[in-house]
Amino acid sequence: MKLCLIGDSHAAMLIAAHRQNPADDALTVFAKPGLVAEDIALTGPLLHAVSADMHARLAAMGTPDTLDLADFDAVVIAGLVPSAFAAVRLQQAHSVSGWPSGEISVAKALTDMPAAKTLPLMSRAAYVAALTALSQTSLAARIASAAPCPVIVVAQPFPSDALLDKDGTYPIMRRLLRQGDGTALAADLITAHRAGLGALAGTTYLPQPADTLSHGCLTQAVFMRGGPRLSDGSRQDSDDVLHGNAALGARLLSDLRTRLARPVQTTSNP
Amino acid sequence: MPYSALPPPAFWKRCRESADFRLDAIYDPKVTLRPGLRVATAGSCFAQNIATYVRASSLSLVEAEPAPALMRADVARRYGYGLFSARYGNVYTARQLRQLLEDAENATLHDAAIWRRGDVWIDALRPNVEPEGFRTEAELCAFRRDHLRRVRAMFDETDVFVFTLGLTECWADRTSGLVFPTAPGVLGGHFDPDRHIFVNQGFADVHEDLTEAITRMRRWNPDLKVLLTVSPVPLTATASGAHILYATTYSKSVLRAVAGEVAALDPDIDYVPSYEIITGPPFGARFYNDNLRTVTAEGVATVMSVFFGAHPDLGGVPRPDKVILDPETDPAPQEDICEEALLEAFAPQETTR
Repeated sequence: MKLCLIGDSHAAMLIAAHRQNPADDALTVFAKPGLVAEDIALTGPLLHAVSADMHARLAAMGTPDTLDLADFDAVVIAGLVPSAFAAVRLQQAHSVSGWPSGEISVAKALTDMPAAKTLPLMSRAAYVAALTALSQTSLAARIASAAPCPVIVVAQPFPSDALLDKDGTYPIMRRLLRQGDGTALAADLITAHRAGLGALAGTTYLPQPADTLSHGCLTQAVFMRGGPRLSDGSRQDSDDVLHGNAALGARLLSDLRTRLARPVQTTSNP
Repeated sequence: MPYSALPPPAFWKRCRESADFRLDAIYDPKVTLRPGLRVATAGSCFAQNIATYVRASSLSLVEAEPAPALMRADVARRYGYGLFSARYGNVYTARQLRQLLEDAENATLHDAAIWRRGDVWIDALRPNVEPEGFRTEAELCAFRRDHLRRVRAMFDETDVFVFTLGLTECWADRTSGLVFPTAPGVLGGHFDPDRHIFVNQGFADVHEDLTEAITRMRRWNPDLKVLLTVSPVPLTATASGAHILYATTYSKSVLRAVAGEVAALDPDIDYVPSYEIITGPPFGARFYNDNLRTVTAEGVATVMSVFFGAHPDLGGVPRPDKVILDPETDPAPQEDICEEALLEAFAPQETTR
């Protein structure tokens, strides 16, 4: 089966996994670090590179500037949907009722505590609706809507739990974890991804395997350490906590193959 | 002759001779607005436009309950964010405003305002801000108290409060006197004729409620200025027993008269004639959509043009995204969030005669 892998820097873990175990997969890669809507254009099922950087990246990978998605048996989209950091940002000035910290806020609101001393309450329904809308309007959803073949979306991995060892970084994420909200955040983000992407015909959202997670919304460092760069396949910086490695890529690729239930062959591979 | 010295806008014929009916002279503000003034808004559906324009202007919109970062505007509106300065939903009547402020004083809850809809709980005083309802009664109460405290705090940071009067008709709880923004049973709860009573306020009722509400605001913030407007949107339905046009005319007449009276007697309260601009005969039905009820973007823009044009210090008329949407590319422009409009669903079907 011919696969088209479209995405940002998070495509690299899947490419690395594919290199280690290509099976019979044919993998065409249309990816660029920080891929944004302005880098591409869609004309029906035709996917075009638009920005100079996108052209350059594709040239380096040996991928044509235009792909007809109808030529593929399936499209895999890596990243390009709201990440855990977007989910954190969405709630950082509010307290989500139904989350552990939110239940404390609800109890406080029932007392005489002045509002100025507390974050405003946000319902979990509103929170999930906001994340769902972001998923529905994401670049991944736009590409998936244009693809005339099955689409599987693999989100950016949850950040590495190595961030807990880095004092002073990611303070909002740390606060959230201290409050015990990690599991709730991950559950709501996955619910939103499923709702936002799963509603598209032929599109499947592939969640990160549960046994790769820690603290609810982090990824075990063993699946993140030494993640490959999309540009040249070299390793990410040692303090990188954002990118999955080949081990995580292998888990996702395995799940992806199970979903597709057929092997594939490579046509281009950086 | 007392009329001989009057300016042209005082004469219908002279206005009629002007393509825009001399609208630039219809509003002569006595409350001067300057850039940076903090403006809070509340009122009926039409008032949602005011927040949109104020946000895009050199004024500062008070946002006591702002939408979460990254929440898309359509989702935010569905959950009552950004429509007004706080998530009170539509405040259609002066009685509702008075009640809101009374409740805000001490974050007061009312048993009569806790409704059920299936398995969920509905805040009867703002039934549309959580479309899926609350999971528990405690959650509802917590959200309401949190909301009321922020409404109260809002007035500490407000220079100008803009209120749009929308309706005189409402439904009340007989025992407590509490009024609701929508009839029981529409968005939650159930209608009980032994418990719920229809109220159609007259001049004295609206005047008293509005005066009491403003008095309370001024007790919290003595320097507060108030701008009053009347919604030009006709009623969706009337429970008065009268024809809808008759009921609309009564309702708007009362509101317009009260707004004029209250503004005339206080130097820090002004009336903004949006009602006249939209409904006035010089423009026919030009500012209404085909349903002759909802106001077109052009109508809203005309009102805002008059309003901001009368305050030159504000630097011109803002152009919020909502108004400059191209209907060719956006087939479903934002509609106002309006509980009252839901009453249309109860209209009997046309029968063949």
